[in-house]
Parts: sequence; structure tokens; C-alpha cells
Amino acid sequence: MQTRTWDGAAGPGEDLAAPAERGKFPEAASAWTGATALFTRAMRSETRTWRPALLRLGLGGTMVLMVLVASMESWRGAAGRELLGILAWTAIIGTTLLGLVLFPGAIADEKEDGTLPLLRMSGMGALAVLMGKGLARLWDLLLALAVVPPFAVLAATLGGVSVDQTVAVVVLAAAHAVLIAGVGLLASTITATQAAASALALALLMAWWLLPALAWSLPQWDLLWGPTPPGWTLVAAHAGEWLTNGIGFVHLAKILSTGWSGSVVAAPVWLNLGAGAVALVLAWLAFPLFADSEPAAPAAAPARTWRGRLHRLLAGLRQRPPAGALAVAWRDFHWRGGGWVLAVVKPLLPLAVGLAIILLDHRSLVDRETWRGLGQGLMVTGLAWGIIDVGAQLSRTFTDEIRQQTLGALLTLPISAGTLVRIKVLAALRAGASVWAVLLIGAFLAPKEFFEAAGEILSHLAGWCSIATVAWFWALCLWGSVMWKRLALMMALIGMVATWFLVGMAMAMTYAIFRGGSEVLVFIVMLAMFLGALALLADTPRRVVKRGAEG
Amino acid sequence: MSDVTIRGLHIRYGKTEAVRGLDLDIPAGAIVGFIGPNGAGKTSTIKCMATLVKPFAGSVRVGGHDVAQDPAAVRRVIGYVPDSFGVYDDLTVREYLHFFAAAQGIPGSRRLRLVDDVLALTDLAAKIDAPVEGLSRGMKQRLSISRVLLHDPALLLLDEPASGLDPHARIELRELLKELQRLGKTIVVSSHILHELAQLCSRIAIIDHGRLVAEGALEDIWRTLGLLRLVLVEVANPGEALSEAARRIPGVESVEPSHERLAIRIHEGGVALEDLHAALVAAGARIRGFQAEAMDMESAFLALTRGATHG
Repeated sequence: MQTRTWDGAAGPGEDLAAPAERGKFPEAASAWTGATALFTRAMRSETRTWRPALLRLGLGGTMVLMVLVASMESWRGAAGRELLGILAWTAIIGTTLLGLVLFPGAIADEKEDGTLPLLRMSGMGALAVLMGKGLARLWDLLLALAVVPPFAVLAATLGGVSVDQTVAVVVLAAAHAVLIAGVGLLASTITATQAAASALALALLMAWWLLPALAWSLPQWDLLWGPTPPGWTLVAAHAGEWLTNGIGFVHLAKILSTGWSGSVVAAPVWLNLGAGAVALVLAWLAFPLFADSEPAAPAAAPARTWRGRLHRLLAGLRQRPPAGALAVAWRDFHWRGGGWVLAVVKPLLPLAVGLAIILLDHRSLVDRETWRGLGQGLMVTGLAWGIIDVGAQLSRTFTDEIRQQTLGALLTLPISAGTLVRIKVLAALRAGASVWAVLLIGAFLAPKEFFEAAGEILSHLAGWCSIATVAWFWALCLWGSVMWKRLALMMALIGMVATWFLVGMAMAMTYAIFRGGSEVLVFIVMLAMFLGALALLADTPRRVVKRGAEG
Repeated sequence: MSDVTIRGLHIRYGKTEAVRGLDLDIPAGAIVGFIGPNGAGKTSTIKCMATLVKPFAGSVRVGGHDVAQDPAAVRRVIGYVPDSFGVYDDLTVREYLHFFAAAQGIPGSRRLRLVDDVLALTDLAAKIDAPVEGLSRGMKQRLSISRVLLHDPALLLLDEPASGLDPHARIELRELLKELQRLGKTIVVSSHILHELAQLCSRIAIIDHGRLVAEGALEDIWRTLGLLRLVLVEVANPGEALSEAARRIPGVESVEPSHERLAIRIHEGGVALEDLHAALVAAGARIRGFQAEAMDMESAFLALTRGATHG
């Protein structure tokens, strides 16, 4: 067997009479070889960490819990459909959330660590890097999803749902995972950091979900360019319907409906797979432009260029840092949180989407119901987005400092670790405050609904339990940002799954034993979560000091 | 008066004891080279002085303040540059320094002038509006030093500052440290690049297996260790008689004649170079060249640690 060193020197057994080959670099590894190498590396790393196993354990446990809940509800009939519904929605929402954490980091992480050029120097092609990094994460996601099929089959045996429906759910979840993978890899290729990639992936997914609305509304654009031809309306309607069905959530609702008898591998499945593949191809095409070359070190942009003007404008928006510990909050707000620009853009986005829907739907702007509907939408969006946004900010509180190796410099400032933690939490809340403005705008547009919902939450134990859940989630994000260099948000989500599992198990057991008593248990759970959040908050400064000494 | 006093310092990470009973005094205004093999405990000791290691056993006082009891007071008198010298890549040089000046509690009215001053001192004034990301490694290192100068600390703790720098950047760093010494700063600098420390430091501390094995001026350490110094003498009249006369000079250990040259090994402190020269002339040597090899830290280091690397 012939061997050749990288510089063309003869290896043992090499035919020395082949001088033309000398001095050549090794042939570029085939896409498959490179992808396999990356995949193997990822699998090897995974066997050395307990996090994926914990995730699968948590998901498996949650599934067991769902079976218990469904069996308790079996007296109402159609227990199988009940169970499959819970399983399916958990699977598809979980896939979306986990996918948005996993895939955007695939290439962006390598860029942040400066290891992407090393992969490329080893002769690995763009496709090999994308496939290798993407497949390893897709494998992780599919392994997490693998806990669903056995329970889905069990759902079929409980009655009320056909085997075809259970198979269709699993197939759709897998196709949805492929779509998320493609979109995540595309975003990861284009952007420079994992945080930016996650934001772009979410924006691309939202665009995908809004695409049908755009298609539906096309014939109504006669407001802009006059009457549309009659055939156009029909085409737009078909496109709108096709794209609407292509949304995983919409198709899932149809699969779960009573009497569904569609094809297991229906058009929406192909649409998701196709869109994922298109995104992957786009990532491949974009790779040489965005990821292949080391970006030139940015020099100070001259003031007369548009970049220079923009830079000066943005710098002007940042007032000088306040003296003392609040300077830390100033930096976190302006750089990690996006500063005033994102603070304005964030609430404007849902507002613009809401207004666009009103306009495209030809709803009357003078109708009070129109604004009330918009207000309700904004309240739900603002609440959900606010919880996730603050969680995301908190999950990066110390992760960025650890990765940039700046924690030591912060810890030698004349402020205590406790103050540092408090100030950084304050900065995260401030960065997320603009999203809460969406909730407040919604409340302004639909005050009655707002006060009713607030009253419901504050006057019921379950509402307080929800508040405790959010506090627990945020505390997990903050604590995780000290404990892990990356994926703190995912770890917090895993923590939440584990918490829900434990709580659910406790409630099921309490119900089974006492045939009641859940109110007391909910109170205990609420108290435990509040105390747990406080404990994590109190423990964080100690962890920060430990990290600072290590780094 | 000592700027730093360390007594019986023990630092433990789990089952590993990184520092085992270290005693050290660092006088004010000195540049102290902190050297030792990988894993000897240098970084742990520097981090302890920087208030970053908790818990530890023993007593560490910096500028008269106890590190364990009053870390906030210690932080006001130290500037610490870690070996990674992490910087915020997404800020400009101006923003970076303004941020740390503000975090140090320096009021806005003083910051503008202060940032200009430290940038002038570290020769980075031309880069004030450049993004940190675009700076070379040497410039980032100088920016890190600028950061720690903002609050005018008396003691600078620099962990491996020359690591990864090219020769030009190392020379710039050396000149900067000399300038800081002229300004009255006490500097503790750890490094593997021993010959550079030799040119810079007034004292060295050699640490091995978590213990201090030697401390003081380089000449003193050579004397203590009984290390031999090589002197090469080129003569116009070589011969066995001259070699024999050279061997009889007090303080000379050995003489090896080779063509027109004598390789003379002397005990440091046994005979001064000028006395050796005079004695050779008195013995009839017609000297063409007289060259004493510099006392190198490598010899002292290797003699003390036997080339150990346990890192």
C-alpha cells in the first residue's frame, strides 16, 4: 500500500518513480469521508457527556407521564387520541425549540472558536462540513424523537386513533426536524455568532410560517396595482392552501382530527423535506461567501463612508458608561443585548406583522374588534417572546465572558461577585424590556382582556405556579450560563422538561393515591420552584468566582 | 517595604495541591520574574494575589491589605493581566477603555484624558477608534496593559505576557515594562522566555512543585547555587605556563587551553571579572579578547528544577 506525507515526501512502500505527484497537498477528502469524520467526532464527544442522555431520559420520562395522564383520563373515551395528541404536540414543539438551539451553532460555533479554517485546511469540502456538523445534530434530535414511536404505537392500542395516524405523526416530526436542520445550517453559515444564527433561523422560520398568509393575500393586493386577473386568484388560493398545509403545526392538527385518512407520507411531508434540502443547498452555495474565508480584520471605518456614518450614528446612540458597577450593565445592554436599535426593532416586528395581517385581510381600521384582536395577539406574542427573550439573554450572561476569557478582568474590578451577578441580571431584564412593551401595547389595545387574564393568573394558584415556573426557568438560564460554555439555553430547557416530569409524576401519584389533593401539591411545587430559583441565584456568585479562578 | 508578602501559601484544586507552603516578599518598585516549569504553581500564585483564588491557606498581603479579608481594597491597588488577556472583540479601543474606566468608578469628566494618557503610554493612540478585533496580538496585549493602568495601580501582575508575541512585540512589551518601572510600579511577571526576563527583572523567583526554590537577584542565585561562569580569553602568547598560572588564580575552577584561547570557568563571587583580567595580565598574558558569558537564567532554572515539566 502506498503512503504519502502531506508535503509529497515518500512514505514507506511508495513508488519513488512518480515525481509529478510530489509537492501536492493530499486530495480533498470526499464529502462523505469528511462528513463521516465529523460525525464520528461528534458521537465520540457525545458518549463522554451526560447531557444528551439526560435529555432522552427526561423526554422518556415525560412520555411515561403522558401515558399515565391519558390512562387516568380514559373514562372520558378515546384515550389513545388524547395520548397521541399530547405526544405529537410535545414532539413538534420540542423539535422546533431544540432545533433552534442545536443547528444554528453547527458552523457558527466553529467560527467563534476559530476552528473552521482548520477543518477546511484538512481538505474538507463545504458540503462535508455542513453534512458532518448537521448530521451529528440531526442524529441527536432524531434520537431524542426516538422516544416517541413506542408510545405512539401504545396510543394506537388504547383506541380512538389509527396506526396510520401514529405513523403519520412520527414521519411529520422527522420531516419537520429536517426543515429546522436546513434552516439552522443556512443561518449558521451566514452569520458569525451562534446568537445571531439563532435569531436568523427564527426569523427564517417565521417567514416560512407567514408565507401562506402572503400567498392568500396576493389577490387582495388590488389595492396597490388594480384588479387582478380571475385565474390569478385561483392560483394564489391553491398556493396558499398548499403552503398552509406545509406548516408542520397545521398538518399535525389535521392528522390528529377524528376520522383522518390521509397518506402517511403526504405532500406536506415532502414540502418540509424539500424546503430543508433547499435550505441546505443554499447553505452550501453561501459557504464560500460567508464561511470560507477569514473575514479581514475590520479597520476603523472612515467617517465619510456609509459604514463609517452608520458606525458614528450607532456610537452616538450609546451614551458614555455610567461610573461604577452599572458600567457592566451598560456594556451588556449595548453589545450583548443589541442596544437601542434592537430595543426599538424588537417591538416593531410583531406590530408590523399584526398591522400587515389587518391590511392584507381587508379588515376595517375603524372597527374596534380589529384592534382588540390585534391587542390579544400582541399580548400572547409579547408574553411568550418576553419569557424566551429574557431567558436567552440570561443564558448568555456569563457564557460570553467565559468564551471571551474576560471574566477574570471583571472579577478584579472593585465590585463583588454578587453585585456583578445582580448588575448583569439587570442588563438582561433591560434588554428584554422592549419585548414586554409588546405585551403592554397589547394590553392598551385590549384592556378588558388584559385585566381579565391578569386577574385569572393572580387569583389562582395555578397562575402563581406559572409565574414560579418562569422564575425557575430564568434562574436555570442564569446559573447554566456559568456552568456551561455553550447551549445553556438548551440545558435550561432540559431542566424544565425534567421539572415538568417530576411535577407531573408527583401529581399523578398524588391523584392515584388520594384521588385529590392536587391543590396542596401545586402549592408545594410553586414554593419549591420559587425557592429553587432563589437558591440558584444565591449560588451563582460562588460559581462565577470559581469560573474566574479557572479561566 | 514589601508590596507583597506571602506566608505559607497553600492552594489546592481537588486532590491536586498546586502551591505547597510558598513564602515570598516582593519589594515595592521591583520587577520580579516569576519562573518555573509548567504546572509549578506560578499562575495559581499570581491569581491568588489577584484575589481570584478562593479558598487558600496561608497569608497573602498586597499593598498592606489581606487578600482574603479585604479583596476590594486589594483590587484597588493591583492590575492583573491574565495569560489569555481576554478582550471584548466587539468594542473599539476607546469603548473598551471607557468601559473599564467607568467600571473602576472613574468619573466621566476624568475618563477622556485618562484614556488618552494610557493609550499614549502604551503607544496605541493611533488605534483609538479601531475595533479591538482588528488589533494584532501584540497590540491586544498592550491594550490589556492599558486596561490595568486606568486606575493607576501600584502593583501589576502579568501572567505570561510575552506568550505568543513575535520578537518585535516582545521588545515593545519589554520597553513598556521598563517605562512602567520608571513610573514606580511594582511588576510581577511570569514567563517561560527566561532570557527576556533576565534583561528586565531586578529579582527572580523560581518556583517548582508549588514551592519557592530560589528568590533574589540573579547574581545572588548564581552565587548560592555555586554555578560556574565561563570566560573566554584570546591570547597572543598561549602556552602551558600561562594556563598553569591562570589555574592558580583564586576563584578559578578550571582552565582549558585551545589554540590561542583559554576557556576559564570561575565561581560567581569567587573572583571579579576585572580582577581576573588583571591577574592574567600580571601572569604575562597578552590579551586580544576577553569575553565573559552572561549569567543566564536557563542554567539557574535547570539546575534548580532539573528540567522538570509537570504540566
